[in-house]
Amino acid sequence: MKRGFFNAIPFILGAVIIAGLVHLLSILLLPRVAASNAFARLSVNASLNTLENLQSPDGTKVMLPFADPAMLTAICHYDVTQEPVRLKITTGDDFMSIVFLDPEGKVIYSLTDKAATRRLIEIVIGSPAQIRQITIQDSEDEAVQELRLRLANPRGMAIIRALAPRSSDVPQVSALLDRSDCQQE
Amino acid sequence: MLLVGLAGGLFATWHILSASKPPGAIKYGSWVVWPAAGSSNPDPYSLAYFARRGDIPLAPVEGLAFFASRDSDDAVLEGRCTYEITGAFPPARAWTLFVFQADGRVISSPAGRPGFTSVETILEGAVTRIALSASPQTGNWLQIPPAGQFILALRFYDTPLSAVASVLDDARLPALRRVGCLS
Repeated sequence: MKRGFFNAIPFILGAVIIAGLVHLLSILLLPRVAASNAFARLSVNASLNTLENLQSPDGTKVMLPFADPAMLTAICHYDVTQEPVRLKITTGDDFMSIVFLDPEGKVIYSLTDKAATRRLIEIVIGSPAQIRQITIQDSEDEAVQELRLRLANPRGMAIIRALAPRSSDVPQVSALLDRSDCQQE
Repeated sequence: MLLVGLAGGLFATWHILSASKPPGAIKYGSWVVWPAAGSSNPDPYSLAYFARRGDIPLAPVEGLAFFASRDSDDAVLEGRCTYEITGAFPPARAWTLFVFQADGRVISSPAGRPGFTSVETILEGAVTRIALSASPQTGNWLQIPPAGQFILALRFYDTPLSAVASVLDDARLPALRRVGCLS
């Protein structure tokens, strides 16, 4: 009996080490392979480099689990491989935010409506080379109004969320998202 | 050995991500928050948790989202019981409180949106009292499903809390107490 136990030690140790490795690997790989992550769910029907208001009647009506029902959402599934993309977001009186997600669902950049000047947020996203090219063309006399974001991964998604504090605010806030824009330069 | 290790490792991952407070999460009273999940440098457990659940965590500049599936006595939230949320709400530009089914779907509520936002509640000074039950109550009333488990999501937008999430204390979040249950 005792002898049997000692003989089993290498087996137990080996199994524990393998279990540890499998656990670590699965945690690290989960965001890449999860078919149900937010990015995968939202990008199913989203056309590239256009802003899609998920509230609009012909919208995809994707509701993420646990998503805040008071937050209206628009998405821009972008790919800047060819050309940089410009986002123009019209802000209102209530809280609004923009987050950029990479395909693993990691937030790479985020900002709120506090960053708006005259109720507008303009962001140009592109590869480091594309952004460098834009910066070279800047006029020295004019201050740059837009934000520029250098992307390590050319693909991703911008999520624009706008708070509608009351149900009656929904049409007005949804109209703000309709006025916003996401286009290739 | 290989099979036992593989099964054990996957079981550990499943078990850890299904816990009521997975690694990466912080618990304040009933409320669970993932402060790093929406940051640009998330811990792998938070990232895996949200990838599996399928929603987008709030970035620190947006605010903080707290989730509760248990009351202040650590009992699972059930529709056949009544609850109350009392206490001061932390400063924020806006907050929202919504009721979800355990799978993350919004509960259907005949009373309109199944939740509250900061502009819709009646404040008694800085203290808010919200009653949760399946049948209507006076004052701030949040309808919960008549049976089954549910989850509450309390979100603070544009809040100074974000910066201090790691040192937040229970007293700064409203308490979620069970008032009674139908047997």
